[in-house]
Amino acid sequence: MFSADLKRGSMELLILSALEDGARHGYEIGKLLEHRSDGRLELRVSTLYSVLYRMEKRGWIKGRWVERQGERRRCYYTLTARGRQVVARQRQEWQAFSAMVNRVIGVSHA
Amino acid sequence: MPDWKSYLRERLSLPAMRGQREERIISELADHLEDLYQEALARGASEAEAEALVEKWLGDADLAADELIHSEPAHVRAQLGRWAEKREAGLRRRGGVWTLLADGARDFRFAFRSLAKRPLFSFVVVFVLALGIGATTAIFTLLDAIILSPLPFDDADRLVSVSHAAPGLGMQNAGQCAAWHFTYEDENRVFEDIGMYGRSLATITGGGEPEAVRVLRVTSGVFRALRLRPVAGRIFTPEDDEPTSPNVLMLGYGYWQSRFGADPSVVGQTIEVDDQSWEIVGVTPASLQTLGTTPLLIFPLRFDRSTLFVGNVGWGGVARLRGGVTVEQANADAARMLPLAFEKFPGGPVADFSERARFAPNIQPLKDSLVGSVANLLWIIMAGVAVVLLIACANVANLFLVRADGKETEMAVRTAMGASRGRIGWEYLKESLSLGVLGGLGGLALAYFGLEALIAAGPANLPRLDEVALDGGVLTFTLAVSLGAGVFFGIFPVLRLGRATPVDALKEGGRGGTTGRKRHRVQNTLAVSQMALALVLLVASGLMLRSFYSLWNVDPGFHDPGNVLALRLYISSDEVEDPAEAAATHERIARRLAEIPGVTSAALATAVPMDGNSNVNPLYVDGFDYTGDRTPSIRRHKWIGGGYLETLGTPLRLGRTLTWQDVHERAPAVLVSESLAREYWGSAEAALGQRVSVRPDPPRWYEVVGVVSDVREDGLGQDPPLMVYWPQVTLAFWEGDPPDQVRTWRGIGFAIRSDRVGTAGFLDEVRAAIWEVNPNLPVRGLQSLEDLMGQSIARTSFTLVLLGVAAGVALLLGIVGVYGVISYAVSQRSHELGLRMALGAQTGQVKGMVLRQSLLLAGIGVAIGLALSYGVTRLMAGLLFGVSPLDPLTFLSVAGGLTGVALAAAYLPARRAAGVDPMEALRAE
Repeated sequence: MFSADLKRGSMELLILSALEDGARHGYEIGKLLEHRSDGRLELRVSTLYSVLYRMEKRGWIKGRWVERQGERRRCYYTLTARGRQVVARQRQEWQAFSAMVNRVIGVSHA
Repeated sequence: MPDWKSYLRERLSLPAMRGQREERIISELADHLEDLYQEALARGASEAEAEALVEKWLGDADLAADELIHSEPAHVRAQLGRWAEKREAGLRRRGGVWTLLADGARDFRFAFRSLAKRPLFSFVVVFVLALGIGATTAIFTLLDAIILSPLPFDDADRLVSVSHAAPGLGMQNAGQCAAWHFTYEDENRVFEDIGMYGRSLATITGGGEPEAVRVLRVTSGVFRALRLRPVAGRIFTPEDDEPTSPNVLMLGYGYWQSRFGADPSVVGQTIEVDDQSWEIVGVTPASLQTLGTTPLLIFPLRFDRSTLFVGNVGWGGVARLRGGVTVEQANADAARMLPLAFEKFPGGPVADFSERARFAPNIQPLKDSLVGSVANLLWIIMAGVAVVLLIACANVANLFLVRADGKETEMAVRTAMGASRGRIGWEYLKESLSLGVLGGLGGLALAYFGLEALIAAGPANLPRLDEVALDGGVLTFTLAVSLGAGVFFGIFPVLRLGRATPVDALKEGGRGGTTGRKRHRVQNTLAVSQMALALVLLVASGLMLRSFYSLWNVDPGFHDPGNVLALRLYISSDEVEDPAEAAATHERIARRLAEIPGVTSAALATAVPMDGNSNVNPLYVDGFDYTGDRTPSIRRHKWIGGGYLETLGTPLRLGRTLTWQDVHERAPAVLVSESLAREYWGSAEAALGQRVSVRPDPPRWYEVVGVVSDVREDGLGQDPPLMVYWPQVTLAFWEGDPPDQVRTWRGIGFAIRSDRVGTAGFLDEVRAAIWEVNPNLPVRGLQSLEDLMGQSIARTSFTLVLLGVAAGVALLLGIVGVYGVISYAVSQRSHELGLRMALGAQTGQVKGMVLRQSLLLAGIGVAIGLALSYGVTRLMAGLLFGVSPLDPLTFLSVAGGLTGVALAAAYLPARRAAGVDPMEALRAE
C-alpha cells in the first residue's frame, strides 16, 4: 500500500488512463487499476467516486447511464476531448517529475 | 442480498445535496457495493464474510461522506460551510470561553477526527498527559491558594504580623504582649491600625453537655487592621476593649451557619459561656479564619492597663502599615518603642527575665508569617509534579517521533512538491495541541478529585486550605500547561522537518532498515532525560522514605503509644475556686479513670507528649553563679501526678519517681531528664541529690530524686527538650509567692493506658468516669498518643506520600519510555538483525547487543540523574530527618534499582530481536 497523500496526487491520472481505451463503470475502473498494479492499488469506494465526480464537474469525463442486455442499468464514464488533452499533459508531467526525483535521489533506472 | 441503497443511506449522511444528485450517488455506490459483494460470493466467501468485505471497502463512513461532499460543486460546500459557521456563531453568541472554543473548533475538528481513528494511540497519550497535567494542576491549585494569591483582605500587602524574637530564650517567634501592644498603639509612626489576638477555649454552658469550643480573643484593632466588615450586626469598637464594658461577643461565620442557620436575627440574643451571659453583637466574615484558626466565638480581648507589665508574651499581633511604609521602617520604629514599654508599664514579677530575653521586634508581612513554613514544602512538591509532567511529555514526544518516522517519506514528497514546511508543521502541531487540550481536560478531572482527597488527607496544619478552589487562575494555568505540553511534544517532528532535506528523507525511506540511526538520536535523548528525571524524583522520595523510617524508629521516650489515650480537662476558678481543691479534683479523676475495666493505669500532667502544650521558664541550679551578666537558662517544665512515668512507659534511669504522696505532702522533690542531668552535672548519677528552683531570691530548692529518659515532647522530628518534672501541687513556687501559697495548674492533660484504646464504647466510659467526678467539665483532645505522634510528622508523611506517588508515576513512565525506544529500535533494525543472524550471529549475541544498548541509555540517564539529584536534594534538607541529603545508600540503591528496571524493560524487545527469523526479516524488504 502507498500513503494516501501519494495516491491522492496521482489519482486523476490513474483513473483517466483507465478510461483511455473505452467507456467503463466505476467498479470496472477500480478492478482495472487493481489489476494493472498487481493488487497494490486498492481504492476505497468513496475515494474513487469523489475523484470521478470532480473530474466530471471539470468536464474531463462524462458519465452516462446505460442499460445493456442482461445487466443492470449503470453509469459509464468516457473521456471527453478535454479529458484526452489533460491525460496527455499529466502523463508527460509525471514522467518528467519522476525522472527528476529519481535523478535527485540517486535511483538508477532498473 | 442486502439492500445496498438503504445500507448506504443509513451510513452516509450527505446533507445539502439536492435529491437527484444524492439519488445518483447512492445508486452508483450501491451498484459498486453489489459488484463487490457478488465477487466475494463468487470467490467462495460466506454472505457474512462478503458483507464484512464490503464494509471494509466502504471504509470510515464519515470520511467517505466528507470526500464525496468535497467533490461537490462549490455552492454545496458553501452551504455546508454556512451550517458549520452558524453552529460556531451560536457558540460565539454565548461569549467568553465559547468564542475561543468556536475559533478552535473549526481547525481542530479534523485533528480530532484523525485522532479518533487511532483510539489506542490517542488514549495512551491523553491518559499519560492527564496524569502529568492533573498532578501539576492539583499542586498548583494548592500553591496558588496558599502561597501565591494575596490574603483575602483589602490591600493585603500592607498587612504585617507583629511579633518579637527573643534570642536570649532561643526563640525566633515569641509573639506579642499587651504592654508592647499598647505602647505601639500609642507611640507608633508607622501603623494605621494595630490589633492583638489569641486563641483559647471556652465552654458553652446552659443546657445539655458542656461544649468546649475554640474561641478567638481580639482587640477591636484586629477588625480595623484587617478591614473586616461584619456579616451581620457590628464589629467590636474601642469601647468593647474596656474591661468595664458589658459582655459582648461575635459569632464565627461557620458556627453562625451551622448552629444558627445563618439567621441574622441572632444579633441581640444572649448565650451562656463559661457560666456568664454574653450578648451576640455581630457575625464575623469567613476570612477571619485566615489567621490560622476557625473560631466558633470571638470575644473582646480586654486589659486593665494599670496592672500591665512587659511579660506574658505569646499573643498574636497584626497591623496595617501606613501607605508607603516598609517592613524595615516598621521594625525600626518598633525597636525605638520597645524601651518605652518598660517605662510605660514598669514592674512585674519577671521584669529582669524580660530583659534577659533580649527581645527585638520581628515584624514581617502577614502572609509570610502565616504561610512561610509551608512554602518550601509546596514548592518542592510542585517541582516534583512538574518533573512528572516533563517525563510524560518526553514520553509522548517519543510516540510522536515514532509516528512521524512512518510519515517521513510522504512528508518529504509533499515538501518536494512545494508544500511549505510551516504548513506541514502546523498539521503536526494541530494534532499535538488537540491531544494536549484533551489531556488537560482529563487532568482537570483528576485534579478535582485529587484535591478533594488531598484536602481530606492533608495535614491539618496546612494554612488557608479553605481558600483552595479550581478557579479561573487555575483554569488558565491548566490551559497554558496543556498547550505548552502540546507544543513541547509536537515540536520534535516539526524541528526535524526543518532540518532534514527531502532528499535525505527519500533516500532513507527508500532503503530503510540499517540507516536512520541519526533520527534515533532525539528519541534516545528523550529516553535518557526521562531516566534522569525519574531518578531525581526517586532519590527525593527515597530520602523522604528514609526520613519517615528514621522518624518512626526514633525512641520517643515512651512505649506502646497506641494503647495510651490522651485527653485534656480545664477546671475554671468559677467551677472550683480553691487551687488545692482543683488539684484534688484532677487527682480524683485520674484515680477514677484507672478503675475503668481494662485500664492498666491513668495519670495526669500539665502536658502529654506532643499535645502541643508546653511551659518554658528559667531554671536556677544550686551551686551555679547567677550574679552579674550570668543568667539562668530557659528550660522546659512539667508538673505531674503519681504514676505518670509508669503510664507513659517512660523509663526511669536512676533514683525514684514522683508519687501521689509527694503531691499531697508538697514535697520539694523533682525529676530531671537525662540530657538535662548531663548538661548541668555531667552524668545522671551526679544529678541525684542536687537542687533546683525557678525562683532566685530567695530560692525554694527542690531536690533531684530521679533521672528520667529523654522524651520527644515536641514531635518525633524534634530533639527532646531538657525537662524538669515537678509535683502536680507546689508550695511558694513562683517568685513573690508567700510561703503558704499553694500552686497548681487548672488545665491538665490525662494519659490512660489500656488495650481497649480505640475500641467501641471506651470513650463513652472515659467521659462517664470524668463526669461522675464533676459533670460540668468539658472533655477535649481525646486521641491516642499514636495519633499525636502521627500528627507530629504529618508534614513529612504528606510530602512523602505526594513525592512517592510522583516518583511512582515517573518510574512507570520512564520504564515505558525506555521500553518504547528499545522496542522501536529493534523493530527498525529487524532487517539488520536478520542479516546478522543469517551471517551466523547467535541469539545470545543479538540479545546482548540490544541489552547493551539499553544499558548505555540507562547508564547515561542514571549518571545525569545522579548529578542533578546532587544539586537538588540539598534544597530539601529542611524536610529530612536522620538522613543526609546526599545519603549514599539512597543514591546508590535508586541508581542500581533504576538501571535494573530499565534492563528488565529492555528484555522483552531483546528477546523479540533474538527471535527474528532471518528469512522473514530479509524478505520483508
